[in-house]
Amino acid sequence: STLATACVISGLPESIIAAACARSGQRVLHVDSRNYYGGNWASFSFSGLLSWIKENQQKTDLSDECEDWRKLILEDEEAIPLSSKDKTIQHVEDFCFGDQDSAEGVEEAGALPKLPVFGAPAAQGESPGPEKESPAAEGIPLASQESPQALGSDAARAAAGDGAGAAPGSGAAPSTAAGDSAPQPAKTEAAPSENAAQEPKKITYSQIVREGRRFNIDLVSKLLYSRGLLIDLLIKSNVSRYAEFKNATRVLAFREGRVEQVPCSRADVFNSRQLTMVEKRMLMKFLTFCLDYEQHPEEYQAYESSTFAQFLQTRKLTPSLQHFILHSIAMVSETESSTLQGLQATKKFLQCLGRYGNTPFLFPLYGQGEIPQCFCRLCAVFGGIYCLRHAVCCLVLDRASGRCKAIVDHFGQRISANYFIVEDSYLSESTCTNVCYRQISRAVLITDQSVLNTDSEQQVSVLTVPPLEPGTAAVRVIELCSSTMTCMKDTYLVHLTCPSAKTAREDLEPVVQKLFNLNTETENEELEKPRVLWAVYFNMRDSSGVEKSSYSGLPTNVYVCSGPDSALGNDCAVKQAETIFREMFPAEEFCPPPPNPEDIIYDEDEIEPEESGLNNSPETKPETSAEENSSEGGAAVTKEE
Amino acid sequence: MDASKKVDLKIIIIGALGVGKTSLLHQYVHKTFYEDYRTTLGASILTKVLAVDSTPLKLQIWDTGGQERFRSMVSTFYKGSDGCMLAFDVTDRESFEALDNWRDDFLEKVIPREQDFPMVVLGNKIDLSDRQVPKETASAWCKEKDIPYFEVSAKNNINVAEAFETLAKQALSTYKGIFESYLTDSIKLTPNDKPKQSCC
Repeated sequence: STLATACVISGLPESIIAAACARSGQRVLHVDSRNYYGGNWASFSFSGLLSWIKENQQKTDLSDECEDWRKLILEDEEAIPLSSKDKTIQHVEDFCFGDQDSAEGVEEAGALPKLPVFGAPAAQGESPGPEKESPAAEGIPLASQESPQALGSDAARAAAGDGAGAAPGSGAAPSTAAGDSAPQPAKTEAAPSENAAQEPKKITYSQIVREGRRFNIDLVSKLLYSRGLLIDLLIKSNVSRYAEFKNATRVLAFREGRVEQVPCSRADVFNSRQLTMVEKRMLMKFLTFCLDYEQHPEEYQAYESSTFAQFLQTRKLTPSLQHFILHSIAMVSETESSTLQGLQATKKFLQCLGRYGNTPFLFPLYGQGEIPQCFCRLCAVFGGIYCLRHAVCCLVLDRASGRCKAIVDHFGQRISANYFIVEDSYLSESTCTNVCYRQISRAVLITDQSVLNTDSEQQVSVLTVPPLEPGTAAVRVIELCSSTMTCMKDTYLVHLTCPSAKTAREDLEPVVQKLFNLNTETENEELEKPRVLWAVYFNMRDSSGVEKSSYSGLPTNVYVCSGPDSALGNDCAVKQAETIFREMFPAEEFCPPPPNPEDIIYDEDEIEPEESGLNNSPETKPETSAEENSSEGGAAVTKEE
Repeated sequence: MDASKKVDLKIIIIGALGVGKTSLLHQYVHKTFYEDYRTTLGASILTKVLAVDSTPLKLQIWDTGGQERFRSMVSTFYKGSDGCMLAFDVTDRESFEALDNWRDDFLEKVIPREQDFPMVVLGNKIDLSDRQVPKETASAWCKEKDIPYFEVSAKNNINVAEAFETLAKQALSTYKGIFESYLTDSIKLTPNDKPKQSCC
């Protein structure tokens, strides 16, 4: 029988569309040729990433694996072959800065319960120790910080757990944790961490291999704006139930060879020890104006045809403040961005402050790769069928109507549907002859210290490095601590991103050299910089912004999703998904909240967390209206076309 | 530990298609049972609040959402789980034989911790007469893996609560022993939060 929608590849836009379709009662089949979700939006364990690297470094020239499908095409049909080999990743270079030989024969530690614990105390410097009470890091408001509007325990937990340097015991080394289990009273400065005076633990490559499953390394490096399309969608659709988030705790700048923290909130500015009183007043005044800039056109009208950088020069701001605003707050180009663009970007940043924490950004626990999967789960829960390891060979067109009617998979099965969502990388070269792609340069580093050491080790930081040479791009750096569950303890995962000019290594290594120490032997003068233990560089195709008309010969009921773009936020993916969904089903609501609460909490004290204003009786039966008792299972209501 | 603070634990329930995972969940949380087979639709995380050794617990129990059909569970499903419930149908031999795979799958996908992962096995549908898996066989398998075994019936509500509570107890004591627990305090987005105006 005919499905409503077949989606191919499970990147973020496709997954959102799949979820939206399932939520509106369509029957959805979602396949991915790989054995993991996300495509270029995926995240990997360390060993998983090594496999991915190997796969992408091999220049195997696979001939078309799916020859047989031609027999399945009828006379009144035409076929559009899809590509079997992914060509979106290039110039993959990986480097190990530790002793790689020592990792010979080292195995990744698994979760097999009865085997001895590999992370033996001696090697790791940690003692798991006897039963410890988990310190109650929750619910402690920070006197100096703007707490996000607390509603229930969650927000308070966020305020306490993620403020820079204020989470009780967050900097404590494992061996000293025993004494830190009592919650500490609110302070404006964190209690000095025991680790601050210690040298960074010497992490070896073999430890990284052994602890490989503690790494969740994203191919895409992004953050979520606290007021943004993705967050709003996650909350509205209730997909947020499937994920948890950490605050980005710091916004950093790189100026005159040094990494500095950028004060962005009122509280930061107030407490900053780097800014003079005069600077504080200047900055507050300017930011207050930006928040509301449209109401004061007289302030910027004269500069509408100037660049934002030029505009800032006229604003009674010191050079360092101008730098902070241009590069770390607005994050726009010094040479290309107009005054209005800069003001709008600054306003967006400011509006996002304080919703969940001190910076505008959130990061998903376990990495960005979780997000497409959360939407896939929603789709599945509403009847979508999921098949990994399922490649699609071609689209089948009806000659008369020109519409696509089916796909043929690599088992030689024909699957009919009314709509098809295909990601750009799956289209063959001939379909994409007229498409011009940009590229994104990416690097991922495993390091042993933060780029900016402060009291607390557990920081999530975003740093924009202005172009090192004229004509090059600014490089965005996101540094993740181990409590984001993306890297092992005592390491940091650092992501670098910029639009490509050359190979990723050529684009990014100069920045890596500025921020990090690449020598295996620690030189004296390099002692301050964090050491890179391992690195990979790669270029990823940026198919965002490609007009559908650029693809040759695609029927109207085949929609193309792009891969990741280079922006910091996820607006592109969400907008795309919504646009495509509305083209397919103009009368349907896009990812509405589920009609019944998914979980009932049998506790009077708990706040009803879900939908507002909808019928929330706890004894509701599962939806009877949206079900079909089909032997296939997984069927939602099939809408009539 | 602040006694009024609930400990959040994530439990996942895995096993072959049709063994009754969703029914077990619904029986435990809603005390309801539906005769006709329907795949999980709409319900994917059910929550139960209970007290174990005077510690208030909030169990977040994740159903598979039907993705086990083609072994295509999202890895999100496994991440952060504190305990695992393996289920099979005593009238379906294959579903019992698949337990090894399900257990291995879980151990492969979950992020390793220093402690063992709490697990229990549920042999469901003991209310039916055409049994294919004898109790001794299942018990032996479980004993070998050192996992508690429960013979249950979601339909007649036999042993269901005991199984969940045993797992909850195990998960709680493991949770207390883990150093990183507080570090991963995180933000959970809810539709109700009323953000204040920007604090600039």
